[in-house]
Amino acid sequence: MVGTLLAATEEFRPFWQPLPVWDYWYLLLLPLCVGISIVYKSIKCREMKQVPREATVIFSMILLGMLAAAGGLYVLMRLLER
Amino acid sequence: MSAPRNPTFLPPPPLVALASWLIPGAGYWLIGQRVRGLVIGVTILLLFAVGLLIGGIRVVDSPLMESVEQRTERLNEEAIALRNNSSYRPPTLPVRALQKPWFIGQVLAGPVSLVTNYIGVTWGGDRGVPFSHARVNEIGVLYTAVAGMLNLMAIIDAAYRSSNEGGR
Repeated sequence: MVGTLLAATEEFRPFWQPLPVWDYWYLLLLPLCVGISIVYKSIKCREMKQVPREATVIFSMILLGMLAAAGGLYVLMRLLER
Repeated sequence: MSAPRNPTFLPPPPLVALASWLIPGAGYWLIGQRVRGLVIGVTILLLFAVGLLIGGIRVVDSPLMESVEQRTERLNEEAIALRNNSSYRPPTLPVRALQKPWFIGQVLAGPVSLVTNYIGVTWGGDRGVPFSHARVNEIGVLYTAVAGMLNLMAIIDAAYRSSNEGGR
């Protein structure tokens, strides 16, 4: 796994070719959620010092929501497979 | 820290909105909310840049700019369609824009999206920079379009604050 990743990284040209993360694409949703949380709470909060705490809370909620949705869909798929 | 610089001399909302589109976060900077502007601007530009890093710069694909190869292919397809059906009319620019709706989100991130698109179609010869495919392309498009949509929220909020003496 690490060898494959290293081989792909050696040929990788940033911005010209896609990032060689074919098997880990779902982890790329985490920085997106962090960015959305920060911008949303920066717009919403009256004082900027509230932002780190509020953004952490909403990021956790998004993460839990996505995990719950994934778990629910997994169970539904298993039930439909029977 | 986030209080307006001078409530009586805030710039007009259209100017704040334009500044926010040109440089994400600049609208807040103009109305004196510099920390807010810096945090929002840096985060939006980072999301856009990470999207380009994930999917390559061709994730920004607009109907306004095409590589030589794309234009040749499109004109050939239109010529064939016209030969087969004399009443055929080539799609207009708005119709072509609706065929790539994600660009509407991407362009809201500012001129950086247009510059990226220009580089994508002009560098790398007639074909332009190669397209990415599958999941990484989708995630790259998602990052860049979400960055643009977040900037739209920031544009509206900064313009509203400038008309409301810096408050919400």
